[in-house]
Amino acid sequence: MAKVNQNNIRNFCIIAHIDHGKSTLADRLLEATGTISQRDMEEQLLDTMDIEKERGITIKAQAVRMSYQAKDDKEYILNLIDTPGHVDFSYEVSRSLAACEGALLVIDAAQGVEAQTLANIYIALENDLEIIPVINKIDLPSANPDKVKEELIDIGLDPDDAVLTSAKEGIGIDELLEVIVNRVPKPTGDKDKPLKALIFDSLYDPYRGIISYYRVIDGLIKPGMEIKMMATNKVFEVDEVGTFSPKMNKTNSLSAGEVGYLAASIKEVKNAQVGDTITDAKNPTEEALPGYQPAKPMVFCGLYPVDGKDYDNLRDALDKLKLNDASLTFEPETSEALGFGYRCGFLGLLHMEIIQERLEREYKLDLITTAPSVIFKIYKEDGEVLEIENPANMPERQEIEKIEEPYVEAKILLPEEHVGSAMELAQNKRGQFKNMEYLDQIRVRLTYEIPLSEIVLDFFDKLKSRTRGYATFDYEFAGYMESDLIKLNILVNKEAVDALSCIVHRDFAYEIGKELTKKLKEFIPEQMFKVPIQAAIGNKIVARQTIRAKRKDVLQKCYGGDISRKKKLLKKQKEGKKRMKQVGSVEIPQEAFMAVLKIDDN
Amino acid sequence: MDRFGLYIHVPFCLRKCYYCDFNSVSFNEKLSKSFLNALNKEIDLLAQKYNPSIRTIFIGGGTPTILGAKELRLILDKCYNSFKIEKDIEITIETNPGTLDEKKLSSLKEGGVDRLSFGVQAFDDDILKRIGRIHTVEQAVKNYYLARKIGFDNISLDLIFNLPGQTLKDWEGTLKEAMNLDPEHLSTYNLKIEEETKFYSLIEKGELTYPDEDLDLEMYNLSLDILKSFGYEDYEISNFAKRGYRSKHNQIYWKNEGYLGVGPGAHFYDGSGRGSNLRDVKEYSNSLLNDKLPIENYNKLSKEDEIEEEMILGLRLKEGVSISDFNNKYKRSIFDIYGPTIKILKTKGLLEVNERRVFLTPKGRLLANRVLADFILT
Repeated sequence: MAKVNQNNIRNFCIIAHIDHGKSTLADRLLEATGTISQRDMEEQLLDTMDIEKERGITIKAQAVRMSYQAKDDKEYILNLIDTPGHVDFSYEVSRSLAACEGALLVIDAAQGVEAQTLANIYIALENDLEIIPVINKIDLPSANPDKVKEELIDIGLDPDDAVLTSAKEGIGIDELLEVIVNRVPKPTGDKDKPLKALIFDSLYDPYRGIISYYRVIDGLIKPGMEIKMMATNKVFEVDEVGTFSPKMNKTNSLSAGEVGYLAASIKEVKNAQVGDTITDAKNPTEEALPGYQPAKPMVFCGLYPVDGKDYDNLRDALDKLKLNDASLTFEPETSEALGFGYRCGFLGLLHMEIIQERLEREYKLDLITTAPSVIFKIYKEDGEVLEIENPANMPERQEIEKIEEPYVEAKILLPEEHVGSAMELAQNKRGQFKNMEYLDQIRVRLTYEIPLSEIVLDFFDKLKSRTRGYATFDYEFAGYMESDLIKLNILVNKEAVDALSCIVHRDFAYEIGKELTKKLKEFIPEQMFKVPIQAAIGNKIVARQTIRAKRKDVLQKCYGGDISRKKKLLKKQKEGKKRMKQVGSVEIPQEAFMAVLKIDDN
Repeated sequence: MDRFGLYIHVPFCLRKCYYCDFNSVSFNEKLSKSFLNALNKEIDLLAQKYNPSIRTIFIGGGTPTILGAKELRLILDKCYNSFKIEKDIEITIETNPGTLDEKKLSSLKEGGVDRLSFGVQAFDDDILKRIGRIHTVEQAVKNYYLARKIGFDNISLDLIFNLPGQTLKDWEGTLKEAMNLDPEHLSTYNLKIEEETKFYSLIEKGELTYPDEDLDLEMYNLSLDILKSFGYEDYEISNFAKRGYRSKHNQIYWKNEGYLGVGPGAHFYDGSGRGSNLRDVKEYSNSLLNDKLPIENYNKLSKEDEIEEEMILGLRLKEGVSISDFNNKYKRSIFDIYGPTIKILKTKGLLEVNERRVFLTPKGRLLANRVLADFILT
């Protein structure tokens, strides 16, 4: 491969509100540059996991290198870095953006500027990226590019910079490529300085170990070199480097400005974490790149196999996922109700759902997941301090001197008109108002301190619904604070079910008890006998519901020998049972363990 | 040569009853002609394909007796001429009491029909009207005695309970009336609201509510009490018979044995796969005009399919599933496959096992869906 001239490299990402056409646009760029032929194109190539395709979200970052013959007759290397799109992964997003100089901001020509568009601009500006607005889907009958251009003015972008495209129809793609070349700044690193490269993602390969995705800032990297990960000081010898086409393509070296991968027989992802700086072990750079944060799980839940025999399989599966996911943690725990399982730590709720789904799909495990929780600090009368991530482990009340819970500083970005209802929600969720500022004429930033335990339940979903999707939300850990918390026990058929208990604020305990028992009544199917559901604080019952007994459940005849309908119904019933756990004499379905998430506010 | 039951579907009705979602359209002369021609053709093609020996014939619908005596006889004759007919064959026809007369009944008797299934549903004219039946109680009773007079000595009554507005007392009245007629066999089914029925749309509109589950249970228990006290055996969850009068045809379904099906939408199980015919009468007839069997879908059954079907069908019978028959048929012990399931269901009091059979307890019958779901393997 010819030596790459740094002046001819452009590194950029695409950011967009969901469904505004990010993946299709990426596909068209790959086609137009001949990186991949239309024939080989699997739709939306960059989202490779099934879950990503189904949910239409990107979980892992991806990168691809295109070569483009521009109108100035020079050949350019265009590196497109695709980013995850969810608040759980905001750290990963920020590291991906830090590897770029420019961002294509995709806006749907019919929908216009939406909630996430604003948030994306914000993140891009924080990373000093050159923003190129792309008004996409101009082929739609309802497209109104002029209106979108006016909206661009409102959010501080120059409408004359916007490129009009229809990724679906292939309109405007050539023009866009020229704009990328002309507007995205060239990389500024120095290839003669010591190696300095930013890891923005990785994947696990069973044969070669961890494959790191990185951007070279300064210097050069090549096989045989000894590299050091600056966060962990671990040293590895590089086996292979290369670029993405989008398949991995081995090269002799990569130098300042380039984006690629390396394999160095790294066994665990914790030794090559996102955000870490790679340097030359023999000639290290003085200072690591800013912004590295070790992965830290914030949300915890119990994962239990429905069938106890799957316990070892669950551990093996978690081990495998962990190889490629530094933020996943797990340790064994035992529940009286659910048996043996693992308490697992995640970045956030989406991360939790994704891991759960991958365990079920890729490893064929039937699991019960308990409601998410955070780490509480319990100061006992005898001076001992406990860190509890499972409500079931909370000591007796009389042993406790005080309890502290984690708070986050939450920043909510939203149009002015929704401020009232967002503030109401934040207050309902025990938020303490800190600040409100106008970013421009319409955009407001609210800052609250809110207990993380409220956030992990369903704060973001509720915020979105109250603001019709216009609010975006980000948070960072703000420290532990004392709270008047108590444990709410749930009794099913007069027996306490540890996996259903939760830690709540005293002022809300009655209300939550009432709502939770109501929800449990909805979720737990009728059994052969009457089942009382009770909420209790200590020994005091604060709420009660009763599930009536199922006494008859018989199918109609199979008329004329048609048993297909009957079988379908029985299969459905069986499928439902798969996700049920026998607790005492009662069968409790998965949804019940998440019931606390389904409680309505107000 | 394989032995089969034969189901013949007549897809016509005068009008649709409000609870019914079976495959039927309103009767018209032209459509009926093409249907009858197609049926002849289909019987020929099946005779060629399977060379079957026919153990039972069941003519259902729709309303088979909407056809004339001549047409019905032609169908039967076609079967006799094309298939090998076993000596002790049972031939049942479903009858709507509103479509019978002496001539038709006599002709059916002459044609070899030896069992009648009377669609009475309820002995209460108000209720019959409310569920869209075209006949009265009087017609049902009159035609029942007519059939007796003509010599039918194996008659079954179809009854439905928990109909809209029906009280426990009403149901008791219907059961007592039925006992007065002294039939050999009864089928009692609880009303289930199916989509694409008039009742379903009434529920959607809020003009009707779903049948009450507690009442359903009381009515079922009442049927058990009354019918058993009159000497009927509850040989299947919804079926009752005097000694020696179980339905041979329906037992073929429950014992997971083979049956062929002719007519639009008819289902069949040929011993290695299950399938069904095109439902639309025109499409069905056109296919046969082109000498093609009108099969809409057909799936070969895996071993697991066969085994789970053996269980979910067999357990509906009072005697349940025979342990040795199961072993012989599948070359595996029932306990190898279902050991833990059977054990759990036993402790819950839903299933019983003795040296010879696995069967539902009375409580298990009431919760049959839940028990049967546990036997699904696929």
